[in-house]
Amino acid sequence: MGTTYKLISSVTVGAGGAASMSFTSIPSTYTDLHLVFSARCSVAAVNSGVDISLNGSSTSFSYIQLYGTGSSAGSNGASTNDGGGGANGSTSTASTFASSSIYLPNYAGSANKSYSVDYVVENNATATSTTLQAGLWSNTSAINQVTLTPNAGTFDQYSTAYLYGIKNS
Amino acid sequence: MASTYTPIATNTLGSSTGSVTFSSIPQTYTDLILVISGKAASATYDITAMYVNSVTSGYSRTYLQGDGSSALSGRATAEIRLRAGYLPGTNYTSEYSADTYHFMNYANTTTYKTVLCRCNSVDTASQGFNTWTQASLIPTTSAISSITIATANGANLYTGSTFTLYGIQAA
Repeated sequence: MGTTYKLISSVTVGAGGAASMSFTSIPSTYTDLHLVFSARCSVAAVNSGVDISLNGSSTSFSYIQLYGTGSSAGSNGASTNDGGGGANGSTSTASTFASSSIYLPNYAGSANKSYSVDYVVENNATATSTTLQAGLWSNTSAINQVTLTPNAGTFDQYSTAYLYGIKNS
Repeated sequence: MASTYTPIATNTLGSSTGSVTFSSIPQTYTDLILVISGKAASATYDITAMYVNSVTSGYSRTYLQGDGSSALSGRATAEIRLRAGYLPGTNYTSEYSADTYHFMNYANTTTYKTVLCRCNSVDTASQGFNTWTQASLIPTTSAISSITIATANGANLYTGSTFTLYGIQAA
């Protein structure tokens, strides 16, 4: 039996930053995908959302999210692709990167693509958050490309992303 | 070194059915992960229900959910099964849930069993349904050997739903 949980590819942002972190030519031989990333970006804010694009498309997305800020909890949603995790911004505590986890079950199947996102943007001050998201890409194509882009700015050096494939047999 | 993360069993429904059961679960792992991409054979939605071993009472849970407009937390006790996230119904043509259930230390024979549930369903038209996280308690000190998945309101599980059980080994 082959390895159940296998690293497909990784990205580490180098000096000068990067507009996005992308995974292309994703094989369709796994059952689920698990994307884990650590990110900080250049936007002059404490935090930033991250847009997710699949197969080069940023359309036909919707999401619901549940968040806590340390003083309140709330929920909202949108029919956009900015429900793809988070990143620390440039005014957050130095050397602090957000942690995000995106799980895409049945990514190569023929149904619309539902996925789960959990992320935290920590900051040794105010304006932090922990967020859970339910995402949907209304497209029945197998996923062969995943791109993460900060809502604003660029990813900072040392941001990383790891894409794992999980096989159910 | 033995594999850390191992598929134990998987079931993809070729037709709608009332329940899916994982039985004779090996006791050789540390934790279990159950991944469900689920849909209910009812018009709008149903809710995932699980029965562990022969336990039919005393389940409890604390949950936190967001439905796109408000956050809600609640608690339920003395339930007859583990009740968790939403399964989209057939009105939502191609939407399935994206759910994971982490059964921790499932094979021990000393403690009651805890489950971390993470459930997600979104419909295309109106961002309906919710994102849900829940800590559940299964009131049995027996090792978990069987998990049956059904729905809380009686709908069948729909064609194309998938259920995969993985074992995680600590060493």
